[in-house]
Formats: sequence, C-alpha cells, structure tokens
Amino acid sequence: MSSSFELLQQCLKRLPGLGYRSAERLALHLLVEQPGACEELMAVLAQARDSVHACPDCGNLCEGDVCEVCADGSRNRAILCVVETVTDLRAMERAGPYRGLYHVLQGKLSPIHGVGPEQLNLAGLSGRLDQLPVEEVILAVSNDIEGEATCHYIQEEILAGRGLRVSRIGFGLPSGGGIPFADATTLRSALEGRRNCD
Amino acid sequence: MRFNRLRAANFRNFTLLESAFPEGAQFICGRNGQGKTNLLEALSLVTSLRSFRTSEIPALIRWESQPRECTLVYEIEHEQLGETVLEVRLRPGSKQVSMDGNPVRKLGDILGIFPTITFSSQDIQILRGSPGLRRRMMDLMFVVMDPRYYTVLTRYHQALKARNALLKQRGSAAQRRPFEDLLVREGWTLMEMRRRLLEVFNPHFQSAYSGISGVEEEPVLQYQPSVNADAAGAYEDVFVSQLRRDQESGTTNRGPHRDDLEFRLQEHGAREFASEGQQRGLVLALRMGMVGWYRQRGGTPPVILADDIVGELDAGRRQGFWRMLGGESQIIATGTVFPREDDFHNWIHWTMEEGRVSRDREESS
Ligand SMILES: [Zn+2]
Repeated sequence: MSSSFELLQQCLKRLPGLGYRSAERLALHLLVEQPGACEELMAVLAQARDSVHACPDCGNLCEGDVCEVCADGSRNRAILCVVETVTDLRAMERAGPYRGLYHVLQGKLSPIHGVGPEQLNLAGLSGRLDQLPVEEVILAVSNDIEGEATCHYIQEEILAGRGLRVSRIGFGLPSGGGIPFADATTLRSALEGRRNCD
Repeated sequence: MRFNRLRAANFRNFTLLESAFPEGAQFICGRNGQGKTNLLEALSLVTSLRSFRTSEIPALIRWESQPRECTLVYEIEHEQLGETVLEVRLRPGSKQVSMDGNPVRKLGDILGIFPTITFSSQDIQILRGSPGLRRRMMDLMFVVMDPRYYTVLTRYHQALKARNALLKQRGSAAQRRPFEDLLVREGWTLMEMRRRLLEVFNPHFQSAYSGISGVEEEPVLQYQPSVNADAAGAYEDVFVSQLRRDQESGTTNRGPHRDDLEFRLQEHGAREFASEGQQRGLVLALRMGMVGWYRQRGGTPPVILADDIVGELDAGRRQGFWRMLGGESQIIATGTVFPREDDFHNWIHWTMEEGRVSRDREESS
C-alpha cells in the first residue's frame, strides 16, 4: 500500500533527531525541490559507506588502514584517553589541547539496555595496552552511574596490575552535559585538573 | 511566595483550569468532582514537579488531549526572584520546565525554590497504608530539606535498576561489582541522610502536633531502615549476605528502597494504638511540621494548600489547625462548606463548578 515516497519518509524518520514533519520536508526536498541534491547525496553516501570504517586500533572514524590520530607520528603514545563515542573524540579534537592517543569504547556499560562488556570495545583496549608504551590512561567517560561503573570495570578488569597512572577527567559540567558540550577552555582545565584514581 | 494566577491546559479531566488569586486567604467551595482537588494538585506540582496524589505522569494528562501533553503556567510572586512565570509541560515520560521563557536544563535545580505544603484528606493513608507511601512522603520532604538528597536518591535508583537487570540477566560477579559498589555507597549515604533529616524534622513535627491538638503526647517519627547497620561496612555485610536470595529472586531484597517509617505516640505504634482523632492529628502535624521547618529556615514562606481536610476534624483540632497556619503564608483551601470556627483569617470565598472558579458576592469576615 505504501508508495515509494512514504517508504522514503518512513526511512528518514527512523534517523536520529528526525520527526514526522522534518522527514516529510527532507523527502520533498530531495525528490521535488532539489533533485540534483539527491544525486549528490546518493553518490556521497555510497562513497562514504565504502570507504569509512572504524579504525582497527582505536575505533575512531577512519578511511585508510588506521585513523588520522593513530597515523600521526607527533602524537604522544604514552597517553591514552578512553572515550565513549566518536562524537566525544571529535569534540576533544576540536577543543585542541589533547595530544595523546584515543580509545573509543563505542558505549558504556548499561545493563538496562543490555550493554555488557562484550558489547564494548574492551578486548581491543587490552591488546593496545600490551603493544603501546602507555604510561597513563585518562578515563573521559560520563559522570553518571553507568559511566562510573564502566570506569570501575575497566580499572578492575583491564588496568589492574599494569602499573599505569590512571586518571579521570572531571568536566565540571552540569550533569547531562558531556564532552560534546565542553569548550576548549573547559577541556583544557579538565585535562590539567585530572585526578588520579585510587 | 504567592500564586497570582494558574492556567492548566489538559490537566486531569479538564480541558482548562484557570484561576487568579487576589490578596488574602482563598477558600474554594464546591461539590465533589468539580475540580477542587485537581486545582490544588496542579498548584502543588510546582514544588518538586511531582503530584501528591500519584507518581504516574500519564494520569495527570487529559486522556483525549492530542498530542498527549498538559501545560501548567504559573504566575508567581517570589521574594527572591520577583514576578516569575513558570511553565511546566508534562508528556508521558518527560517533564519540561521553563522559567521566564528560559528552559531549565537540570530539574534538580528548581526543586524547593517554589515551596508549597499540601494538606490532603488522603494524607491519613500515609500513616495507615503501605510503606511505599511513607517512603514517597519522606523523599518528597527531604528533597526540599536538602538539595543533595535528590542527587543521591536518583543515583541510588539508577544503580539499583542496573543491578536488578544484571541479576535477571545472570551477569557475572565482575559485571555486577562496579554497580554493586556504587549501590552500596549511594545506599549508605541515603540512609545516613534519612536518619539525619528525620532528626532535624522531629522537633518540628512534635511542636506542630501539640500546637494542633493542645496536648503533649510525645509523637515521634521513627526511621525503620530495611538494613539495620550503624556503619557503612555493616551495611555492606548485610548486602553481601543477601546475594543468593537476590540472585534467586532476580531483585535486590534489602536496602533503602525498602525502608519504612513509623508514627509513634506515647511509645506505641500509632497505626495500631492511636485513635482516629490522634491519627488525623499526626498526619496534620507532618505537614504543619514542614511549615515550621520553612519558618525556621527563613527565606521564602511556603504557600499552604489545604484540600478538604477541616471537615474531618473535631472543633478543637480545627481551631488549633487554623491558628497554627498563621498569617504569613498564602493559603488556598477547599471544602464543601465555608469555614466557620476560624477567627484567624479573612477568607475570600469562591465557588467551583466544572473546572471554573467564580468569586462569591457575599463574603464573611
Ligand atoms: Zn585510530
């Protein structure tokens, strides 16, 4: 019964942040108002899908063998910053002051959403700690119960016994805010004021 | 603070509830089902964004409303903030608040800034009903008395949900441990806060009781924690000792989420041993004690909302009640008949019919 137009609209509506109205507007824009934009979008989407993948080392977005951060020889390989998402990593990069490497967990422990250790990029973290000359791990994970439990878990199950300096970033942001809302100054002071975990 | 005006759209079964409040004590009369209780409920929501009648947001939204949401707009005169317009929008599963047009990002920040105290004829259930009602009462009072309480309570319940989910999923000990550590830490903090806040509150409760009843009967609100422990370590021991039972039942059996509170009078449990009149006096003292707590704290005096309570009291307690309310707070009361034995307030009389309030021409003084 559904027309192609309705199918497109439903498909767009499933994307994050789009409601019924905005999905309709987008569908009309692509099909009727700017058909050229549709061609371009299809090409760009196909290209991105074929070339972008998760960096096998850190989980960042990546187009070659490893991502730009991992490939950059000037980055400090003695510091590893653990973040929840690529969004967080990109926000830290935009803010600027951090010059070490990253590790993206792709989430945090969330039993009520069925996210356990197997669903997170934790095996990769152990492997990298074995290979890299890491001296310090910064846990830049959200300040809520699930974020804190994720930090505990990483400390107990992965970092214990390695003799690393482990610190947590305190963002000093109202709860609900995270790295994506932090500006350069906030992040710099958070990095400078990072506290050792016991 | 005082309410100047309320406009509630799609609240409960009313398309629109609207009322303006001039200077003076307001008494709203009307038969049952005309919206008196709903009006007071809407006013009371401003304090902790929770209803005194239900914990279910969907129950507050008019069933036929499309989209399913209700909007409450309060015009408030506040000692510190001046004239403030607060807008609360409730949808199933979400609460949004804006103050003078600016969204409030962290709801915890406005808890207790707009204090109201509600006296309800249903309050007697707090004494007689299940422990859940007493915990809810305790939480609603304590978030106002200590702003940190809300954070600890929320964190405890998040950790509890996570741990219960892991028990049901039969998660490993390594998976449970980080959540259990947090649960024990927040749980112990919560218990200590409850104990301390009850100590602060009991003197207010006691003087309110004797003020209303005119007798010294040593009323006490006694904390009955689910886990009897005098130190964090002892609490953790009890918690650990329950593990097998918790695993079998797939839920956490002991902890502050199972706490209770006992009303005691002359060293006996009031639920079993107190008379009807004494029980009514105790629950009135619970609310009046909060009025006393606010007075001692200073700052913004709370608005007093009294929903159909005087009818059930004997003449002596009625007198005591009106006297204890004093004159510094705005009072908005409801009932089926206008108050007769109150020598302490000059009431403005309203009649409510089908959600509409109209001012009576003839007023007693
Ligand atoms: Zn990488």
